[in-house]
Amino acid sequence: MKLRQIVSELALTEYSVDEKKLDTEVRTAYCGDLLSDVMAHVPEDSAWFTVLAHLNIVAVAQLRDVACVIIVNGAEPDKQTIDKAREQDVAIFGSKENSAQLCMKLSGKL
Amino acid sequence: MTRFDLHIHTALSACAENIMSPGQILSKAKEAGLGMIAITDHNASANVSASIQFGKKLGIKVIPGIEVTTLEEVHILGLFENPDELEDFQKLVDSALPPGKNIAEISGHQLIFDFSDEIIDMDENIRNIGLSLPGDRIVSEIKKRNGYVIPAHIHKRVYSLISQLGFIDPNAGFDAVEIAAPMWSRDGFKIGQRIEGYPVISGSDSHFLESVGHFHMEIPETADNLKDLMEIIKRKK
Repeated sequence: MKLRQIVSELALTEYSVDEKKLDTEVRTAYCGDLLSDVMAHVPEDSAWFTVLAHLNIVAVAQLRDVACVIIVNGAEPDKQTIDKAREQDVAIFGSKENSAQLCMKLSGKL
Repeated sequence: MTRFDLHIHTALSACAENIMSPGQILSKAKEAGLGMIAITDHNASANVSASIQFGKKLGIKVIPGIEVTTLEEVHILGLFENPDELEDFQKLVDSALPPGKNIAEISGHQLIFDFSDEIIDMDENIRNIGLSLPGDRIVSEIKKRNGYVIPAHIHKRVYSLISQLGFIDPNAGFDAVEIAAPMWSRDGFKIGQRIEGYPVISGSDSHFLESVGHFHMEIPETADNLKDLMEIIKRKK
């Protein structure tokens, strides 16, 4: 499923995304709130759902080449995180819903 | 009278300013009249020896320390009386680091300094991440090496006991708990108070050179070393 479809289906708020990235094919989803766990397990080209909203998510997202980070539960990234994400071309979105609710909406579609 | 700050980062911590060399930190500490400081970098301690040397020149006691990130992503300060004990603990920390390189463009650089305050190396390993060791193991390994265990900024929104676990375990064997500096000042904490039985203290958690010296703890007694300081803190009511 293309990233732009996910953004639209889940009605995500956009914090940082390059137009070109919206055509990325998202292969799968991963839910993870411990950075060491995400570092070890998040698949490449996945949508990473997390409650974390700080700068370290940008580093991990880039290291592990995820398709995007979706910050859940209405948590908002600070300006430093958004600026870094834009600078490093890391796509970050947000939602007021929780990871389970959002993933269930994608069930069978990825 | 002892003025102390047991939570200071150097440029070895990716998130700290690159100008935080041991020499610069000790200069600032001297200006502020600090008598004892602990150097506590994230999962690292390569700038401790140089800091101790600069401390000796300026008459400031430098405590070998480290800020460990547990598996649960809680920050815990490990303070040692002896640099050898910290060095040994560092070997364990290094063995428990997840693989991965630090991306300096995002996280910042991790700089190592020599005794002339020159940069001699850059640490490439990702260090602002949880180790593969759970908190209780970290506590016992620090204590095994005669170190003191102080969970950092226990109420912080991230990387704290409260954010990660939701509670302070009265049986965890901590030596003290650290309240973040802004909260300490705002809520009027005093040495002698306790949370879940643990003495409270605070520290600057300096990540910027200008922060060093701006916030510190003070006790009327004279403590020449970490052991004496901790005993005084634990005795207070």
